[in-house]
Amino acid sequence: MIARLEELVPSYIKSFDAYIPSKPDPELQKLFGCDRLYRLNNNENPLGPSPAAQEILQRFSPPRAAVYPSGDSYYLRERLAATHGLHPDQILVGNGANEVITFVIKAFCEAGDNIITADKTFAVYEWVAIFSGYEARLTPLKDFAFDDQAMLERIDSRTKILFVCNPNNPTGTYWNRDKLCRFLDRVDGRQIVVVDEAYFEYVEKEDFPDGISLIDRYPNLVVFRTFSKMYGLAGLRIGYLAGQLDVVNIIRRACVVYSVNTLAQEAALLALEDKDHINRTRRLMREEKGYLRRELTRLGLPFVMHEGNYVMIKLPMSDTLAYRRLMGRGVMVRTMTGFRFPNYIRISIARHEAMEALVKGLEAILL
Amino acid sequence: MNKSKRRELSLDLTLEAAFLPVAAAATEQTALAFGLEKKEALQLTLAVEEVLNHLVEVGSSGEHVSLKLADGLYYMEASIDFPLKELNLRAFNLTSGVSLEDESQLSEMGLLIASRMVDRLQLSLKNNVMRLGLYKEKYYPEAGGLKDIPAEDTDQPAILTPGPEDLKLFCRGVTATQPGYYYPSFFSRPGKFVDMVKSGDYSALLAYNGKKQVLGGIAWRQEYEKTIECFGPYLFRDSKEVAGALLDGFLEQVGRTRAPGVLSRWLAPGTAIEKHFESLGAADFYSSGAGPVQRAAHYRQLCEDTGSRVWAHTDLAGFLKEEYRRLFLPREVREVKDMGEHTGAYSVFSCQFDQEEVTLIPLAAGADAGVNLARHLTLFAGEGIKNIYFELDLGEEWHALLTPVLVRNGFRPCYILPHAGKGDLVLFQCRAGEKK
Repeated sequence: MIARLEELVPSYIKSFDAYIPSKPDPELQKLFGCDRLYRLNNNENPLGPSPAAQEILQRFSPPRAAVYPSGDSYYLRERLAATHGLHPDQILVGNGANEVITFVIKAFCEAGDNIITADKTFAVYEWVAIFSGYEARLTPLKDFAFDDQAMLERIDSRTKILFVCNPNNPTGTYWNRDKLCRFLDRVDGRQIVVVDEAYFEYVEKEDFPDGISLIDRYPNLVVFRTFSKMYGLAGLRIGYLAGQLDVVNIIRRACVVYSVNTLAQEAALLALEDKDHINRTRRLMREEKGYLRRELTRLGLPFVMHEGNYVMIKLPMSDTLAYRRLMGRGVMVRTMTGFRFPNYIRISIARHEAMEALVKGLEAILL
Repeated sequence: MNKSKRRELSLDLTLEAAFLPVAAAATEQTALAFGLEKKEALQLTLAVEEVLNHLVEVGSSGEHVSLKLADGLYYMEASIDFPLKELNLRAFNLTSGVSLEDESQLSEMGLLIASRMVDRLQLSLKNNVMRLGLYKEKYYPEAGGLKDIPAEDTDQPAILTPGPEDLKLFCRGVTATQPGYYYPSFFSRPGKFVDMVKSGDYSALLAYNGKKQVLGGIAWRQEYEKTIECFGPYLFRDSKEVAGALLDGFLEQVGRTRAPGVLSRWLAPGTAIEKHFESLGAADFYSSGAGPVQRAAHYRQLCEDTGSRVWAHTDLAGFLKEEYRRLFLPREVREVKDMGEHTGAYSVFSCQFDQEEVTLIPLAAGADAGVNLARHLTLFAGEGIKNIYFELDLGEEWHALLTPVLVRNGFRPCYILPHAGKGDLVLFQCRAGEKK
């Protein structure tokens, strides 16, 4: 034990509690006494990685594990650049989108600065800002969607970054192309605007914007994408950001190289090619969202179902109690109290068998 | 108020009688500088003197103690840190030296005197350093209850963080509409509650109707990484909608703090909280001049419970398994049993006094635990304290072994407080008086 350890700790770390991830499935099954576990809590792709990506995982030669990966994901950046019509140096690959969030905040914020985002959205923007010693200004959602006007009103001279989750996790609402452009016009290059498109590939609406296509027009725009959701590579941890070259060159200074492993880079490369996998996944989402919509209506449970592979359900009971009771029935959901939606749970859309288990579980706990 | 910016004065003292007047003078002058009235300042000074004198008597000459005096805005804290040694362990019990044969000696005891001079005395043990915290609250005038309670309003209430004047109005509304044993005493002193909120120790949200009138509110106390204690919701007129809106607003504020949960023990019966809280159970509470009332405890988990192991004596295992089953809490109950292994000679219990109740918390195991507990009960009986509780931490193996001692002394388990200690806590209540 270090003498006077407390004195070494910055105040913003003292007031921040560590995130405790859930235990591995076998441990949870033992504790909750369930034979199997349907994980509906992390918005993973129920179909897994694309067949091409699966093949590369199976073909991976173990001796290659002794060799460092490409430090800056060279080939993957080339491939992504070709896909999006960018220069490879306009792209930075990270160990999941969480890491690229950290890159951006570290690159642009210093003591006294702030970031702006919504109060009910993906928590990591807020957490990284706070445990790095910066203020996170949170604006309430309006009709379950990011409130552009409220965000603009919170900007001051120390605001460095505005984070927009599009579509929003967990509500699934989105800004269309016109709204996003209007927002970017009003920010007018004074701050960095990050548009997190983690669920981009799940959205089929025609007016949904492709943020990367707007980078040429808006030099302060940075777009996040991930391979964890549609591409089914969450276990390999790989995501990326794109922006104009001078912006990305700044972010690169705060970037940790060699953080993305070889398997992740190669699997991501092949996953990009497989359009059929995306179509199959989208079809499954449509079918199971339809099933869930009917069943939740039958059960009289209000729900928030928009874009993305997830749905929020409002329960007439504590969501954390519902979590425990559903776990006892082998169904793992995400409680929403931590997202500031008390008594809501978020469900990842999965195969029919899992959706049926969820509905049965809900019926049982609501009796 | 940012606690790191609290006004403080620290003294490092060599433990000898000659320094006692120095510590006493520093305490008194600092108390006055922090805004305590003369009477309160002298009471705290006496408490510090008694504790230090006690340490001089039981400690080794030349040892160092540190005295820290801190301004908590609505209270002053004097904390005394003292390195723990096996030899003086026993002396930290409030009852140290109390003769069971001669109860007249009770008033002679230094620690006991200290405890009666302050509003709260807290003993804790960390890294082999014992800390005695003495808390003296500042004086605030009592205020009468609110006379004009706003009429019912069918509009969706607005839930807002109030300013000082509305906080005072809320307090007066609570005292006007709720029986006294369902709210903590600070509601009777609105100015104090305003300072409690200003200090950052407490927070509050109020519900407003369309005319900006206060309909009720909820308050809470939060310490990092600890279970949040909430007070209310208190409604000036019964309304499920207002209660629900207050609870939603409250949970939105605390939901991302990573506190494991919220505990509610101050709530009028019938308040609509069943959609937000789980019932843990109830303990009896005896208020002066009245019969016992049931004080129900409710819990709201904020995080996803991923399960844990708890240590339980065989005598308690049945109760725990049944309660965990009822609460759907995933726990591996590991049973422990005393098999004659060596323990230290002396046990130590911390006593947390709060007006008409005292809660015992075990700090050290010892072969004398049964006798020690009996001495505490005798002491409390002499003080006329009827509400005696004991918190057993199921995350500590050695706590489990205290179960038979508790049972022999008339304690019975009331309910489990999930995640409230190193593991879950079990609250025991002393029922010994009922048997007599």
